[in-house]
Amino acid sequence: MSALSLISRHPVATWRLWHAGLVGSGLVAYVTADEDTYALHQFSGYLFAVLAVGRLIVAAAPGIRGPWRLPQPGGKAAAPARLTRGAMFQRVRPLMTAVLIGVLLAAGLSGVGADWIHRLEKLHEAVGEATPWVVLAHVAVVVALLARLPQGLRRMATPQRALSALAAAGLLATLMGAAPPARAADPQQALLGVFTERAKAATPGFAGFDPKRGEALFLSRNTANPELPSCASCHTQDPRASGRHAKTGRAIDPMAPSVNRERFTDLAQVDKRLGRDCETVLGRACTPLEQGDFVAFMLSR
Amino acid sequence: MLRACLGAAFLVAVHAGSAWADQDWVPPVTDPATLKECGECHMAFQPAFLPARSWDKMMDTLDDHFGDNASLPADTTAAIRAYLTANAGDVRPQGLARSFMAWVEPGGAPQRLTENPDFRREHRKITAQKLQRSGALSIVNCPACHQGADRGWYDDD
Ligand code: HEC
Ligand code: HEC
Ligand code: HEC
Repeated sequence: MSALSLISRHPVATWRLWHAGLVGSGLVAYVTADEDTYALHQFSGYLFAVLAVGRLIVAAAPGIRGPWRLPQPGGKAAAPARLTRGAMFQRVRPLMTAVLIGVLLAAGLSGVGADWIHRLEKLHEAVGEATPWVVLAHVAVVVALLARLPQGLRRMATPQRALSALAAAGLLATLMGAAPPARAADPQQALLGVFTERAKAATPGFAGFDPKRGEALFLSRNTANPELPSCASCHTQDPRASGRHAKTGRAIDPMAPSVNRERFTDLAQVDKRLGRDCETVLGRACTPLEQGDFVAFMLSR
Repeated sequence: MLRACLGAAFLVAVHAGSAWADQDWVPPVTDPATLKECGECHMAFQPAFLPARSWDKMMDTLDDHFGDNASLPADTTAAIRAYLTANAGDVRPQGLARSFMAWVEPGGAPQRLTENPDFRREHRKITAQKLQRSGALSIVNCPACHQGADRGWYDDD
């Protein structure tokens, strides 16, 4: 194949070209991820996925040299007498390459997948948000271990210092990466606590919620609205199944937090929907006791 | 070199993008509050399908919204109203909005985009049985038939 022979003849030049294409398409895809620039996002995303997969195909071809060849983990990089930056790079490279290929492939392929299967969209978004950090770490490694430094700096840049700088950068990246998802320990239990306080205040002789009563309410068939006799009319009889709006056909994500962790985390949302949905199905508001029983039932599923 | 590649990729992509920004497309909903609050019971319909008068009237009557109570806190209602009216079909006539607005009577405030003659002509072959059989259930379930509906694309079947 002529492309392959071009690559094996000029490994470094073609590598740079590929690298530029990957960075370019990735950058464009990243900044156009908004809905209103979707066409651009899709185009650059596909290009990105093709480039990422292509790199692996080339690596698998016989006689491929230079940067295109995948590093062999635990290869025979003879331990040099002195641990130079270059030698350290050779050691770090297999791990770096594995992480990069894993994340970039996941970003590209989950995007292609999300184009066809909507369920993959969340995964694609998560990988997309993680990608810049992985790329930043990659740049940090390459700059720290390969970049030619000015004379003065070079004397200061011993492997030990480079190593500790890397560790610090890694720690920082981890902290920054870990900070946003860190949430309250159990938002669902906190929400149930609010419902408990309300039920205590409103129910004489309140003796705790009963998931069984919540289940009965959920499955009960009512007469206030012949079109929508039950909560299950839209949410289905199984809280863990996806439901759908019986009038508009719109899909509704599962209700049970065991399969949908976002459920029962947002008090305003739960209050709003309980208000509307009880009114629709029962023709009246649900009492604080009924509401808590219902939440307790959902949390038990 | 990097900049050249970026530029080239950009040009090609912009070109491909502009081909779509045409007759089968409306600007997608980008306002998070509208997406959330108006996208719960059905997809959040694009404001370009109705004129600003329609959205004003709808936001005034959320407590009886096609038989449902869809009312919201006053500040949320105001924010969504501002977004819908600023992007309404008569205010920003882009893509499909032009053909839809051509059918709206001057001063009229239709509440259903599915009753627009342009819409009805495109969907004349879709019967109640077809809706049931295909599982779409209702004609307002745009994403059941138009994969790109929430991105404003209606070019597929
Ligand atoms: C007409 C269809 C319909 C019926 C009937 C219905 N719901 Fe809902 N429900 C919805 C929709 C739509 C949502 C919001 C969409 C979403 O969050 O995915 C929702 C969301 C909820 C939520 C929010 C949960 C969360 O944390 O996001 C609760 C609680 C709820 N419903 C309770 C009930 C109860 C209790 C009943 C019966 C009294 C009921 N629903 C009947 C359509 C319905
Ligand atoms: C509580 C559920 C609910 C919420 C929330 C809701 N809608 Fe609706 N909407 C409906 C129902 C039910 C219909 C009628 C569907 C039918 O006729 O099949 C409807 C119909 C519509 C239609 C007409 C569709 C057609 O036939 O052309 C528009 C436009 C609309 N809604 C806009 C909105 C906007 C804007 C919001 C946010 C402020 C909103 N909806 C929030 C339930 C809801
Ligand atoms: C049951 C399936 C179904 C549903 C639901 C549906 N459509 Fe369609 N739609 C179609 C078909 C089929 C066509 C005809 C396509 C063609 O002739 O090329 C079409 C055509 C269109 C077109 C014209 C596109 C063009 O190529 O010019 C628009 C705009 C459109 N639909 C918008 C909507 C909107 C908005 C909704 C929701 C309110 C909706 N559709 C719901 C099936 C559906």
